Amino acid sequence: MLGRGSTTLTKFRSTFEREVTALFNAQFQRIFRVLHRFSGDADVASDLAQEAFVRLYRRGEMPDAPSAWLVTVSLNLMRSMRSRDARRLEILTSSGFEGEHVDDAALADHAMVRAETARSVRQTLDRMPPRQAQLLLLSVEGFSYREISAMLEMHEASVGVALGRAKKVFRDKHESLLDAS
Amino acid sequence: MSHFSMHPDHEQLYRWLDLELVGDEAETVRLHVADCAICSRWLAELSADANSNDVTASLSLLDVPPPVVSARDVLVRADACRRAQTTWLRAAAMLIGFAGVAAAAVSPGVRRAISTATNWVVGAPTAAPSIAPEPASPETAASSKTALDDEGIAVTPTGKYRIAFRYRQREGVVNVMLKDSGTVVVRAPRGSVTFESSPTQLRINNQSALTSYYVRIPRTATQVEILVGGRRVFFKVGERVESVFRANADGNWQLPLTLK
Repeated sequence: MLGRGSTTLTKFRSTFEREVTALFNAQFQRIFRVLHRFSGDADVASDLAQEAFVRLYRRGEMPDAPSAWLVTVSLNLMRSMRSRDARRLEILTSSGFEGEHVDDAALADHAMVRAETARSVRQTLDRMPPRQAQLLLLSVEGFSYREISAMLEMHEASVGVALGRAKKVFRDKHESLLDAS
Repeated sequence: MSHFSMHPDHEQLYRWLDLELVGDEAETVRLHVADCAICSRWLAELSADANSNDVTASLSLLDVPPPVVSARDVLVRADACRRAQTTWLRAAAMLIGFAGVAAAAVSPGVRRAISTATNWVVGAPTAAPSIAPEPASPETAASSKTALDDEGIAVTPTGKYRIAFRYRQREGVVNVMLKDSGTVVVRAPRGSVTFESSPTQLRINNQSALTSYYVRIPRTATQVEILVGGRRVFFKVGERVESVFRANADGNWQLPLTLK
């Protein structure tokens, strides 16, 4: 009897591990990209994305909406990290481009322009309300309105208008930054 | 499929632009907008906001290659976390256990309760005679109430001195420490045993007892021996100590009373 129960548990764990693995392969890069764009730090994004999967694995069962669950957990982790160590995050955010590989070609004009534009995009995101920036990033990443509403705990019927506003805010702020520079 | 009887609101138009509407819903909006000048104008304004291409292109400038991490790495990390958590929980449980033991050792109330419960379990009388040490000489201290509130006896040995536990016990130990003080001190939980003291000997009537004892011996004592059930288990002569049991890391001895 014990042996049968043990076998069942092993099978369950094995099945669950396969589910987690499949989800990881499908979603990890998306979640990493959202977190990296939001935080400006690849290490933080990677760590938090992995931590979300670790928590899912330790949870022992799939939530109803796994992708939404993972994003919600990772964004909550990032919020906790920000409130816990605001100064550290400031340093990390400002150093977002320091790790980017720049070879000799980066000295060329187009590379410099690209780097400047990227810097202004970073600043634009930093100046947006966090929730609005997250909404924008999740949408650009291809998550549906329903998924976004679950991730950000907002009413699904208001996602479209909020998203349209977020895009407009992003454009306006970005343009004003480019004009100022 | 039916046309909107009213204009679709902005949310509906955004959803239509973002391809969030499917089937009949999408077709209904499309037909309405095709026939409605007002909604066509709204749609033209909103589509500029809804368009994500420029935003997507801008945001992609931030991207870096994703880290090389596999699902296996994450599973290993999860297992490591689980093991660490288990270890931590075990440590916490041990800590709580030690704290409980310490509380029991320190608190006479708790200790008495444990002693009473133990005696009740093994069938021993719960109300043993109180310890009534017999001062054998002016140097012999009377009943010594220690800082730990045990009952015991303190004697200043003048020469050879014997501490005799008259009986072996089913459990319990004698914790022996060498101290710089000038007196031999023997402590036991209150009510567990009685003492008989003379200038050269202390006899502990420990029949049916299940407790442990603390014995402090002056480093300067000339000669002190400890007997359990008539068998010598500890012998100190001058600075030399002989025992069938080794001293622990603290330099103390723990002599079992369960000798065979």
